[in-house]
Amino acid sequence: MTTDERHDDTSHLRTTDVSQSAIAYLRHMWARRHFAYSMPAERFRSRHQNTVLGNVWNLLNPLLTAGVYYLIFGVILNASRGVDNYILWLVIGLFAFRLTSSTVGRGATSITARQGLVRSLRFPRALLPVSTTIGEIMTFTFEVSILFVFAFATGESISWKVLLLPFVVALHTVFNLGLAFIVARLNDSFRDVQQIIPFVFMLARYLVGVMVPIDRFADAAPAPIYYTLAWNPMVQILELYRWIFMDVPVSLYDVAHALVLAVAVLAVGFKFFIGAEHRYGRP
Amino acid sequence: MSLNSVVVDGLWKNFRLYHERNQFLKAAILRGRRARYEEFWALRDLSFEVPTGQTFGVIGSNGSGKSTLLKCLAGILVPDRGQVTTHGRVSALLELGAGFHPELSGRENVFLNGAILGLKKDEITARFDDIVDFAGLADFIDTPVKNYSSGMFVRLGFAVAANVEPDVLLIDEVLSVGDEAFQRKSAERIERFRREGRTIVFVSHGLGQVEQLCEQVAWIDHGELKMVGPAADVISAYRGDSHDAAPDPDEIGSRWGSGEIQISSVELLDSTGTPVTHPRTGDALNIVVHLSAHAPVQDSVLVARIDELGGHTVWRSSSRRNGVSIGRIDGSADVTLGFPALPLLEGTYELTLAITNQTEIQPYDHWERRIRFDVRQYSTADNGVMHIPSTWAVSGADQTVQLG
Repeated sequence: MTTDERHDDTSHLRTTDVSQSAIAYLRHMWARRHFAYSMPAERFRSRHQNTVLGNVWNLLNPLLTAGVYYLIFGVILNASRGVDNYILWLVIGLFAFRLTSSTVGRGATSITARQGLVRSLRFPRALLPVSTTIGEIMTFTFEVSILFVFAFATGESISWKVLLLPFVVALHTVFNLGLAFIVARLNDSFRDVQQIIPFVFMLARYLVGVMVPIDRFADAAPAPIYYTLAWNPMVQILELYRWIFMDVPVSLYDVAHALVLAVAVLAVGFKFFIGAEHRYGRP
Repeated sequence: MSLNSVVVDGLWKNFRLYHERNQFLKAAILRGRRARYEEFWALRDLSFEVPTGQTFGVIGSNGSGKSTLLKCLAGILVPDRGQVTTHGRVSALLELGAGFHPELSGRENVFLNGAILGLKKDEITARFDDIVDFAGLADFIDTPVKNYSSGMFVRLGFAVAANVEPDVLLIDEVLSVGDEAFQRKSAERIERFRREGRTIVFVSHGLGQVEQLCEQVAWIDHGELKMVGPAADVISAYRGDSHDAAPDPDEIGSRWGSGEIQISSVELLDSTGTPVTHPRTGDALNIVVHLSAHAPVQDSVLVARIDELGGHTVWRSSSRRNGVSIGRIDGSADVTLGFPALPLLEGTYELTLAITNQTEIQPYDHWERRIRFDVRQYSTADNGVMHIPSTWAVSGADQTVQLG
């Protein structure tokens, strides 16, 4: 059949072998990459079709969130002492943290919400958490545009460091995707996971330096607890975003720390996820 | 170019039948670490080859493993032992449209479905008009599919699967999808695939259809390959065998309930009390439900429901609503549900049974889709689901026979 040659190599000859190598798996994913980004793009387009303000909500939602937190932490609790340009510092933390919490939250249901798809078609299941993660980055671009406005309005000068923003987002995404893989499998086994996640993030928001710099814990909390908290790569990731927009120092050691941990989380998460590849969608 | 498009080599497929699945932590903790299940080999050591360009049939009674086999060929299920090798693009016409995203339009779903099948964007664009045209959905293609009727859903699913230029097409009894015009279109499309020399694997209950379309047939019985060879030979052997086969109502579906009373077994009997596998329209059918209770239970209700396979509920009723009191069950008891003249027409149906308390809501034992059974019919006057007695009269027309 001459039509054969046109198709991508992976669909040629297929042996359904239980021990499929990770490389072959990634090749199958690559052949279907179009799905991974067009799925969230279409969802994104259709999601706000029924609201009066439409896509304006993508901007309004983060703005209102920032307003609420600024009122409580900046004005009422005066958490800003010791932080220059607290409003920008807070908003960067809030938005970047939200990218992780929403990626993990939606990642948890990426398999369970698409049972019909999983049961009726053969494709690498990892495409579903990947497409969720891509979708969240699309929403994040709105928040990044707000960050630029905030930075400009609060008198920060936009420097060459902005060019490194894509790398910071990439590093952040590596970490988020790893977590999304882990919770997607866990939630497929136990549906409670999706209920627990919001509480985990409610707590985490206070522990990774979103509203209050984590150094404050150095005096208040016992040393082992402080070092455990500071070890979380999310802390360094938030600092990297702040380094991009503000005059906050970041050491190369911090970057390496976050990079190594994020890659490790992704590697472990991916392996954990595909370990149950053939179980997804079982009744 | 290889001679065989599909090679199945020593295929085994195992299912775990969970008594109660631990989908929540609470259940898992309360019941101990592991959910209780029974292992069940749905396919045992199957080996056969489908030569390229042939239409290959798979027959067997319900629950014999036909659909499991097809899902293994499609790659949706993965063999526990053995191998399935396919050459070229495989497209499966099973669970049509199940992968659509309800919030998205038909157009978007066509593109996403194509993408997940591994087509490039321009390949889908090139086929898009054909797909929409084939499904007959030009006016609705930008409507979210959640607003589609089930027929539209399935038509679009079929159109996508049939238009991706598969080298191997897997079909699971979907030729009966949609209205008559669409069925004709689907049959023509499949005929075209045959002429183009594509390989088709076709699972069906309709022996006539299999005999007509297929060159070779595999007969699967209880997950084992009973016979494979030229269509006519296998089908006649199957016919001969299924006449005197022991009745074997397939146990499928899931089960739940508090357990005070249990449905221990179910039998389908004809008017003489002989077990039947394929009840016939218009004949008497008695469904005997054997119940057992460890401790006495007062005033239970038997609820029964019949669904079309993969379709709507045809009928639902209960002992209480028919004025029958079951009274006290201590040990065992039988309840017989009788149809003096079975009104169901030819097709496959599923029977759900539940023994409940007086409210009909709290089940002691609910057995969803306990039995799947095929109904055959003597006369071909009626089509559909129900035999509805009808009379036909003509007036005003010229009834004389035209000669010459």
